[in-house]
Amino acid sequence: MRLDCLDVMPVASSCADVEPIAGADLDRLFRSHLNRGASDHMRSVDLRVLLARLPDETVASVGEMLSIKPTRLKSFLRGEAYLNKTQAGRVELLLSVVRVVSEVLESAAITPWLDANLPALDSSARNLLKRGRGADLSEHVGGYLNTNYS
Amino acid sequence: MDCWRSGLDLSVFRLVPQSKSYPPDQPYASVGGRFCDKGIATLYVTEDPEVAVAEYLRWNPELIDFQPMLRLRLFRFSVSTTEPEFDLTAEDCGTQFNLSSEWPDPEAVDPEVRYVDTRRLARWVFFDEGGAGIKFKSAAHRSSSAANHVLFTDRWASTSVPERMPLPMIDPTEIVLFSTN
Repeated sequence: MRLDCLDVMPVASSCADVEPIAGADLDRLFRSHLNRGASDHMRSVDLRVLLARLPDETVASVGEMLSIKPTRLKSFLRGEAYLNKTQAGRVELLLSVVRVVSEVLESAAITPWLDANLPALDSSARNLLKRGRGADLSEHVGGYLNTNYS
Repeated sequence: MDCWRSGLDLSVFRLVPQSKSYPPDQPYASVGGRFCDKGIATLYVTEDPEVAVAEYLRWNPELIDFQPMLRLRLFRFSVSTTEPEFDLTAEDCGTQFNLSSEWPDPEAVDPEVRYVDTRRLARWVFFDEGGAGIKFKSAAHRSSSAANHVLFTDRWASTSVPERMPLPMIDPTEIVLFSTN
């Protein structure tokens, strides 16, 4: 397969049917392909780290918190699907929250913590994530690392 | 009215998250604390290990039920002051700054409002009076009368190697929560 067929070749057609791309456009296309591959690899690593830090959660329950279909998460982990930018952002946000919580709680307590009510936010962490309030949650747990007095 | 104490030798406690590698007796220029000023490196410590935990849980009430699974480290070490410390727990010593010797008063939701007087006091103690720190009453524990201290920059010295201590379990009813929580 020629390089200029990448990303533009329909499955059932041959490369000969595709308008050739040359010069700067080809360079740009190639770079974008490489970049996407690298970032997807990192997202896959992030997701695996996230799942490892949540031993009592499943792909299904994590997918529900992130509003990502579990089948898509599974396909992504197998390298058979992409996450879009919004979905990848949710993975990274939850990972950053779990990283902070892991600093102050044993890993076995993280799932109960996800289900516990957070009085300042009047909801559980799991519900906040489902409702797209991950940024609020992230800011809130940042306080877990402070030990100011009174 | 004598509000200053000289030549103090104290045994104090400080909580540190388990992942943090900085020394527990190292002051830092924090933002957002009760006696905070970005230009002053401070260290908050308490004389009672239970108060140290109560202070933390007061700020993070959803973690009260997770006490057995907290990954916090408690350290004990000794400090001595090289300059006088201002004693806000002594009667009437905070009057000129609208501060009672009892905490918390007031408890506005916005820290910029809640801490305006204590920050003004801290700047006066540090810049105008050359003080080593401020002794103040804990607002976090109902039964303990042990004091907290905020210590400034290098006007005190750590006189022992920090020693790791077991984390005490606190009766949740002893923790005074913020009314806004």
